[in-house]
Amino acid sequence: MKMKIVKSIALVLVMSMCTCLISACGTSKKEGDDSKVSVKIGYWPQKDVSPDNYKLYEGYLAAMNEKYPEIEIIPDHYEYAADTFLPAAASGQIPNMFRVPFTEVSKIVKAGYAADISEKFKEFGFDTALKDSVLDLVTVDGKYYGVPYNAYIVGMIYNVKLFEEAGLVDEEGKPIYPTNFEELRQTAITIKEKTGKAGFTFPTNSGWMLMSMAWSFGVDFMEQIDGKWTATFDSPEMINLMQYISDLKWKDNVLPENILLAVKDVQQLFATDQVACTYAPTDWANGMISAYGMSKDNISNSPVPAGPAGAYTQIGGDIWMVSPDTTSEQMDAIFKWLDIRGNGLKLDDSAIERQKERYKTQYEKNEAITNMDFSIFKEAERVEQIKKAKEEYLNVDEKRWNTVYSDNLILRAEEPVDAQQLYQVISSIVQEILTNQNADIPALVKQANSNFQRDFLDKNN
Amino acid sequence: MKSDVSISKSRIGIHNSMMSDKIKRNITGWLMLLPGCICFLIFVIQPMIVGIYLSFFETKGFEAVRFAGLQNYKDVITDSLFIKTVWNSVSYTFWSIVIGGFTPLIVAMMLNEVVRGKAFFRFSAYFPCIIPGIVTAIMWKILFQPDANGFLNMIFGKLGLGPFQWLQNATMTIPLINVTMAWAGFGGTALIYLASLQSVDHSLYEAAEIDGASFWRKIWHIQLPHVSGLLKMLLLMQIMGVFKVFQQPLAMTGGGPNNASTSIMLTAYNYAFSYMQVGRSSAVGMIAGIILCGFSILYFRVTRKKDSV
Repeated sequence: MKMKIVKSIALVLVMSMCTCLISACGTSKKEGDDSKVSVKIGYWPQKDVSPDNYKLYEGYLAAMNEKYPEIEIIPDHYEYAADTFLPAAASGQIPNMFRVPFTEVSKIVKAGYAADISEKFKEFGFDTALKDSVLDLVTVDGKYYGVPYNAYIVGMIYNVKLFEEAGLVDEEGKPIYPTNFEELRQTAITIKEKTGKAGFTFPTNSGWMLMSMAWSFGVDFMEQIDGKWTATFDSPEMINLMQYISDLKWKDNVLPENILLAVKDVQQLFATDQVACTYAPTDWANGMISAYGMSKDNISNSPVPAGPAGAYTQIGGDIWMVSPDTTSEQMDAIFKWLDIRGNGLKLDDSAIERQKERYKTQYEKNEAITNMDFSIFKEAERVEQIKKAKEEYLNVDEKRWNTVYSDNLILRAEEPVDAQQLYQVISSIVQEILTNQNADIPALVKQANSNFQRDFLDKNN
Repeated sequence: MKSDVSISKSRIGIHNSMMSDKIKRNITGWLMLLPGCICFLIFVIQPMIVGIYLSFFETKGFEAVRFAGLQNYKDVITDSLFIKTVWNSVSYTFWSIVIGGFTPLIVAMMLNEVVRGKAFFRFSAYFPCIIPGIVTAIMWKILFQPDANGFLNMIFGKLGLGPFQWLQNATMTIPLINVTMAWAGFGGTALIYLASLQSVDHSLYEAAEIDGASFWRKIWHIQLPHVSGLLKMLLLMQIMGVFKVFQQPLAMTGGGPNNASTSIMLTAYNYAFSYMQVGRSSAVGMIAGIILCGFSILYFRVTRKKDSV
């Protein structure tokens, strides 16, 4: 009898486990009120992790509910990560609106996980209001796939403390910026001699950051001939660039000892006064201030130095994309949400107030607020509105926070095809050069060019 | 004739009723197996079948778009880095046996001899296994900092040695990553060996002592034969596990310098997540699986021959 009871209990437990397992495989019930248009908005800050941003988003939500009661915004904390996006998208777990870095746009579109938003994009006037270089970031095969949230260009960033220690400041205390690559080299040598710290560095695991430098040296990476893409970087310009990098390491010894550097490693070295200058997009500064407690007064910046072909800089940014299962009504709601957030073209008084609230939050966190950001909009009126909203919160020494934009600067978006693969190929050459003093640079470049052609351009296009 | 048919029918009837009786009798056991079987189907068999299927298709995300035959396999095998990554994976496996293959057994033998503080030493040996793999990788990456302020370089500096390049030295990268893997994994394996060593019949030790056997002879003639079966199985599991390494090179070197530590599974990861080419990634996974099957067959053949001798 006792055995029977035990068996029955075991059976009930097993059956309930099976039921749980099977029910876990099903889709969850659709969230939200059926009479409203519901949209899931990604990148929503978590209350415990980022209370200030969470409060800002609560403000956006209240404004949205008041202006568009027929729309229901469902917060979603999803943040893009290369290793989680694919499974999340394939299983329908990404929100209707999600934020990605611009480098990911074309591969997400190719994988079929982004909606073509051209119709609404034009309806809300983004196609005529955004700068052409910014439009390039969200255009794939002539269609629009995202709304830029912000844009940045690559410039130079300087550690003021190390420049002061090396005596490389003018009478106003402003770092003396290198304007070409020879000056950059001399500056780095002086820093190393005077402070013992690395004069210059860049992320060696990310070829993306080398593109501005390469274009300035005159490197052409690829061209399309009769519809076929051909790798063209086996050139004297590329060899010169690699020789320059090799000399920084082996002749001048101005780079850090660690050469396997990702973006975060470079930021850490810079923020902890281990390196004096580096290539950096304009959005790095506040990242280093919040992650490493670096003082904004210890940061200075300038445009990239000019090379033999000019001063090229790469443009980047963060993009809002829309999941492919989003309906037309939901897309409309998303564009209205962007307006409320202050990402739209027109800023009404309440949107300006919310922008001010954002700057106030940044100000309180002691992040740098400047009027030198790269604007994604052509329209002067909107640019002025933002400048005005910032006015009372500006908190940097303008002498040191030089704009990274100059009239001579040539803006470029990333290479048209297989850019991620190209970055990997370039970083491999750089790593070899920096770990092997006797590396045969022309042979390495030739091999990389041929591998890139054979492994990627021929197979993917 | 008719009677033959009816006999056979009645036999089938008896057989069926015996079967159903057997099932009824064991129904609890079958039901107990059910959750495990469902999990196995969902989390092991289904992804494996989907992976094999996708490896023969041109893909768009995880969707099979067009049958591509062996094109994905051709594409990944003709990649200029493919041979290098396979060779790197073999190198990981070789160094894992050299560095981490016998360490757990030696530690288990030492723990087996400990008389006082057994619990402390066992916990100490097992402790690295508790730390998540990614944390271990980052911790060792910090220890291996190549400048003079790096932790290990500071210690060697006191002895007048270095500074060493550690992970940046292309010839040392794989052995050093193996050191971190061995450190993180030896404790768990050592406890398995220890459990086996503790089941050795003590009368064998006593007999050996009466015969005047030394400490080393006891190890050679009693302990090693006792754990040899387990040793073979664990080495095989280690080979299969290490050949699939990707978390450690991803976190510690990103596959560098110049792909010196890129493993075959890191290549599969790059195809899937950096380039979103799931078909090619699946093809790399399949190739790794085939190579591992080859290793296993070879291993079993060699050990069977040895056993029969």
